[in-house]
Amino acid sequence: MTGNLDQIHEIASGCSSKSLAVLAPEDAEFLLAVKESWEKGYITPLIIGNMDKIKRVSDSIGFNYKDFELIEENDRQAVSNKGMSMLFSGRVDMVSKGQIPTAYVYKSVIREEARISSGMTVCVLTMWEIPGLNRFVIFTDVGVNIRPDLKAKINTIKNAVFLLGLLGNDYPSICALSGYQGFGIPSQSYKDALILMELADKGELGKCRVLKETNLSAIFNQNPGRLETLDSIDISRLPDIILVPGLDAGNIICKLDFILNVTRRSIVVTSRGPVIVPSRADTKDSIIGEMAMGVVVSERMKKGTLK
Amino acid sequence: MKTPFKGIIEKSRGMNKRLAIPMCAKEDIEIIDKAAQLGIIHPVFIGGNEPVSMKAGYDYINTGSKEGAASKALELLRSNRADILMQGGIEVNSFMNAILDSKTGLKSSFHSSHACVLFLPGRKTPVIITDTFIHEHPSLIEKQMIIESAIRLWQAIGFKKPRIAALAVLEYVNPRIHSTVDSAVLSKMSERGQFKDALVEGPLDIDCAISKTAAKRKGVKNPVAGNADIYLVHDAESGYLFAEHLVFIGRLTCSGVLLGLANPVILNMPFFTSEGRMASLAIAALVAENGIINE
Repeated sequence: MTGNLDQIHEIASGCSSKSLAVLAPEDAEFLLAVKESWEKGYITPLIIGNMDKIKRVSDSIGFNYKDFELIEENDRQAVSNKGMSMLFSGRVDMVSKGQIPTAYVYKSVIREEARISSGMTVCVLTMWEIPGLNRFVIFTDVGVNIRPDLKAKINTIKNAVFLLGLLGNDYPSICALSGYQGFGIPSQSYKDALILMELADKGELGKCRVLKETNLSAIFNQNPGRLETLDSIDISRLPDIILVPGLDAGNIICKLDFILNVTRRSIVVTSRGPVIVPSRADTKDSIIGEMAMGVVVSERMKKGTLK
Repeated sequence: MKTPFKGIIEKSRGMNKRLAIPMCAKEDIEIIDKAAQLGIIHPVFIGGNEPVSMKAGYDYINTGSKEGAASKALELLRSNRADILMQGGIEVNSFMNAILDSKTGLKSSFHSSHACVLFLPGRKTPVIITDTFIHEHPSLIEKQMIIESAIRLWQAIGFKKPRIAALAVLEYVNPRIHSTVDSAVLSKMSERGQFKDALVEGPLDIDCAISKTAAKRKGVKNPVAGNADIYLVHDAESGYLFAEHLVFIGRLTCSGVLLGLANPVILNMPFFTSEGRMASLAIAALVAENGIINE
């Protein structure tokens, strides 16, 4: 099982270089990440966007953007649409968002998935590497669905299970998070969690299991309702997939890497390959890490191997 | 005592606030005893552990049932014979229904909200996360009151002029996403002085609120970015899960108190350690002394 980011870099280094449609790279930190990913042999960029802006940033970091295939496009939605249709037609292996709003990218993915009637729900999977835990923990959906309904949650789970399968985790555990604490009317997230447990028991969510616990306290506390000491926390009890109740909670939790000792990598897995969606606050190293993750996912999706 | 809450605990010493505890769990007796020794509280045990409480010389009121213990506790608070209420051994649903009862509970003209208090790595002063328990879908007016209660709590524990991050999923206003709209309105209210000298900034994504580096990368410049004292979350579910992840993944001690009622109330949050529960007693004592909103 591939369980840490060093391993991902190692595997990515051994893969053939993947063609990457880069959508409007207009920020120095982001373009540096593209440049270094290319130097490492992870990717070969194909650049789409406004060439004046791209030239300015390229010059500032010493990147010979003209060495690569260039597609001039000034409309931001069109930049995204072009990149995504190249992914879905097999012209490129991966797509990475540059400096365009993420909503445009999601729109393009939804359009392409609808065109091929894949039935796929677009969602963002954030993976955490946590010290002391030699496996990734995925938080989802942390990017697209503001208040996902049950159907979206089911598809989101399937997407996360698929990604972990590519990384060799064949039977992940899932916690459908809820803030419901037994006071008042059960929240939607709690009601959905109960249904998801049933569906998993019946095998309708694929190879995975949904925990009976709906929050971390219930997972970690040995004595129900009570955390004895911080030292008693056994991190290995953390499930493989954490389904967040909605975007407001998910966005907060997945970005706690800014103060906690964890490393975050996010990815969108479409039915035709990975899409990298770096946040505007992400650093170069974090983006290169996401490129490496994308390379591994692309390679394994192409091979169709789930190991 | 090696705890980041040392300053707060010191500040609450000698207040001797009367603490009503119905059906006290045996695991809580040690910290209550310790808080009493420090002069933070004076416990009044109601129902349950008579032998222990009598031995220590604390007040004890015998009641028959659990329900009897809860209503006796509320009666003490309403008649000003107690200052703070602890959930004790009462199950959460009946406890909440009892304290929120409009006739026999502790409701004030304010909306109640729960605030968690903890220390983030690299920060000397605490942070408040709120609401972490009550409002599943708070309205704007409820968010305004949640902020007011948190400001009062911030002052009660010894600080001034809080910088408040009104969190949302992004920094822009997107009419489809409620949290961005509410946060923008609260921020505008702050700009017009409606929160007095507290500064509310929003919408702010968590990364910008919590990290100066992230705020700089995103080009977000304001005094709250990377430096928030109070995190206003969109709903209680987000707040609860936010605090819980800080505790279990970040291994941070968390404490907290229920605000906006006639008296501060301490709930049995399952991610509070004994150290966190001890700090909650100190915070509740400080709120009882300085933090009740009476208007």
